Parts: sequence; C-alpha cells; structure tokens
Amino acid sequence: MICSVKYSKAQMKIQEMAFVLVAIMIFFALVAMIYFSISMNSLKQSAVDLRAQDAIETVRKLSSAPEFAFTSSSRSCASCIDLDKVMALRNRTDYQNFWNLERLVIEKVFPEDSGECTPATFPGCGKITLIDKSTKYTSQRAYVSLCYWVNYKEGYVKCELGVISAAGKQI
Amino acid sequence: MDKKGFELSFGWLFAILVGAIIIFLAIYAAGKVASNQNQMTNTQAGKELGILLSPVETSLDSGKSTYITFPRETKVGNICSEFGNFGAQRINTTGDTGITSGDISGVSSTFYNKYLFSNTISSGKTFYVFAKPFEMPYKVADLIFFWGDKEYYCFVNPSNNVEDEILGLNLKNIKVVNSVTNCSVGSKKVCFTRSNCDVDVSMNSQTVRKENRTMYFEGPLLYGAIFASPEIYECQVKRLMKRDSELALLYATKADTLAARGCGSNLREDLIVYADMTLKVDSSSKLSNIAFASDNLERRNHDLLCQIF
Repeated sequence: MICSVKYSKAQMKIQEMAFVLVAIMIFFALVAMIYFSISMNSLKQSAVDLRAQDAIETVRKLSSAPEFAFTSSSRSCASCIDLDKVMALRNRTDYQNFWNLERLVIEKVFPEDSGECTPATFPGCGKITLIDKSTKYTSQRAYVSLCYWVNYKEGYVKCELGVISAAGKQI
Repeated sequence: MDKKGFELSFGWLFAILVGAIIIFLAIYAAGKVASNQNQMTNTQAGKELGILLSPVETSLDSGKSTYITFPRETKVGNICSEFGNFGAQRINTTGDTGITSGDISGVSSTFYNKYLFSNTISSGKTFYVFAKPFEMPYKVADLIFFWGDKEYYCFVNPSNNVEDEILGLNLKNIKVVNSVTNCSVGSKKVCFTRSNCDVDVSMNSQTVRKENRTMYFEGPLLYGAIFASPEIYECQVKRLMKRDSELALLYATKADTLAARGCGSNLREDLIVYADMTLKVDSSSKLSNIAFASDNLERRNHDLLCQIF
C-alpha cells in the first residue's frame, strides 16, 4: 500500500524558512566559535607575554631588592647580590609567592662550581634554588656579582660572577 | 465593493518572531563580547602598568621620576590589602575603549613587592611616577608616588630638601611657591608652615593632616602622606612594617650564619625583637618608636667589622 502525504504550499514555505533559519544559526555559531578560538589564543599569548615581561623586569631589578642587594659594605655596588642573605632566604616559605615567579635560581658562573648550596657546602657550591614550582618554564637571565663574607685573617668580602635566572608562570 | 486588506500569513508571523529572537540574541552576544573585550583591555593595561612601575624602582639612586601615558583617558584604581605575610598591592584600570559605554574595570593585578601611594582612584591620560627608597634601618622597599595629569599640587614654603627634590627631579604638576595666594586655582595646597590648607605638613611633629585625619611619617613617607588617601597610606605603612619585620628575621639568620663562620655581631637578638616590634605596628603613629629602635640598630651595625646590613 502506498501512503502519500500531501503538503500545502504554506507548509512547504514554513519548512523552507525553518531550514534557512537553522542554517543561519549554524553559520553564526561557527563564526562565533572561530572568533572565540582566535581571541582565546591571542589572550593566552598576551598573558604569556605579560608574564615573560614581568619576569624580565623582575630579574632586572632583583639584584637591588632588599632581600638580595649587597649593602653591608662601604663600597656601593648596583648589581651585587649578598649570597649570605640569599642563603638565609633559602628556607623562607613566606617568599614563595612574593615575586610572582615560578622559578628563581642563582648560579655561580665563575669560578665554576657544581651542586646545590647547603649550609654545609656553602660557598663551594654551584647554585641556590629559591623557587622551583614548575618544570615547564622559560627563564630570563641577568648577570650579577655574588658577594659573601670570607673569614680569612681580618675577614674580607669576596665577589664572584654569577647569573640570576627567573621564570614567570606558563599557561 | 472591493475590499483590499493586508493579510498576515502564518509564514510572515513565524519569520518575524524567529527573526526578532535571532536579532536580539545577536545584539546581546555582540554587547557581551564588546564588554568582555573592554574588560580584557583594562586587565591587560593594569598588568602592564604594574610591570612598567618596576623599572622606576631605585637601586643606588635616592630618587627617580618618570611618566606613563595611556592611549586613552584612564582611571587607575589603587587597592591595598594588609592581610597575609606582606599584604598586597592591587592595581586595576578602567578606560573607555569606545566599544561599549560605561565603566567596566579590568581584573585587578596583584603585586606583593610594590607600594603605590596615590588616591584610591587617579584619573588622566598621563600619570606621573616618583620613586624613593625607604630605609629603616636597611632598605625595606621602594615607595612609588603616583598622580594623574589632572591633579595639581602647590607646595607652599616646603623645606629645602623637599624643594630641591621636587625641582631636581622636575616633578610635573607640582609647583613650589612662597605664599598660598600664588597657587593656581584648583590645585591642592600643601602647606609646610601654616595650617588650614588641603594638606598641612608639620616637619617638627612629623605629621601630615589631610581629609581631617592625621598621618605620621618618617623619611620619604612624607610624600606618601601627601599623595595618598589616608586609608591607602595607613595600609601601605602596615605592609612596609611587615616587610621590615621579615627582613629583620632574614638579617637575624644572616647574623647567625656569619657568627658560625667566625664573625659574631650580637645583633641577632635585637633583630628578632625589632622584627616583633615592626610586625605589631597597626598605625603610622607607631612609626616614631620604630624609627628610634631602627636608629639604634643602625649605630650598632655600623660599628661591626662584618656588617649585617
């Protein structure tokens, strides 16, 4: 038995219009999705750029921060880091979020030494890790002088070449 | 008689209804997108402003000044929070990007190592920045004084140091005069030798009276009391004292390690007492006591063979 359904002209028009409207909605939804995906990518990129810029400015100014600056001498030094102070800073958890950094390491460049610094190995060691929250990072580096007190004869301040490397949050 | 009328068929009704819904949704979505875009731009500007304030900080210099220009008229919000180990400095910006009408402020950017002294909201296109190190007795932080191009200050009979600093750093929108009558109309009058001005400074009692509130200052905090609203000033003083306390503990540890390496100083106990004292500061009125203890520490440190700070 063949069953045939007859549509009126008006019903056909409504169906056509409904399809067109659905198509328009799908089109706009696609355009919106593309727009949001592009804008999210650019937002993500600008957030990464801002964090990197923040890390660059922080690393540039870190040697003059009171927690790092070498001030205990009559000679003024603009980019000298007080390693004795940094060693004291090592175990202070209060400072973990202070500079908005994911990683902050001070390494000795010359004379070359290796291994993480501890009170037992200091100053014959290679690096002091102050913040290490992430394994995925892009570091910004700045060369500095690493100064510390040496108790030899009357005692003196010894400075060595080092690098301070900092990394902001990655997304 | 031939009657002609407009027949509204079901097809037309359906199209008008659904069309109206689509247009409404499109306008709503466009508005939302524009407002989000505005908020994004303001959030980005707030973070960038915070980053731009970093190079202004001092190292060996006694003061630095610069200016920051935004691409459009902007309101900069200064939010100070005293909670936590160091408190927090939040900065947000509100600027009309032209996409939407009305003020949509960006998400605040948080900094723990910045101390911004300004009004709660500063407006303008160009903002002037002046930074000075704050030492008590060692360097605690850089104080950043911030005002917009629509704020004018008139310093009447300031002390020689203040006058030299303002003229030497060529600070914009600040005029130094001998008499209140020489001040421009609309400028904030900051009087050093008389009272009943917008801001009254007493160098003898080290106080600044502003908005019917008295603020106490030490050293460069004078500028903080002049430029900042009293709530911001008191909050920043508490934050500075918290950092002073943390630094005192840091120096106490350093004194300990140096003593173990053969360079004793006997400063450790005093630094711990000082850390406790500074941590308890709840108002700028306690600053004079802290300054007294700080001077004592500085004298003792100065006489050491291996200085702690």
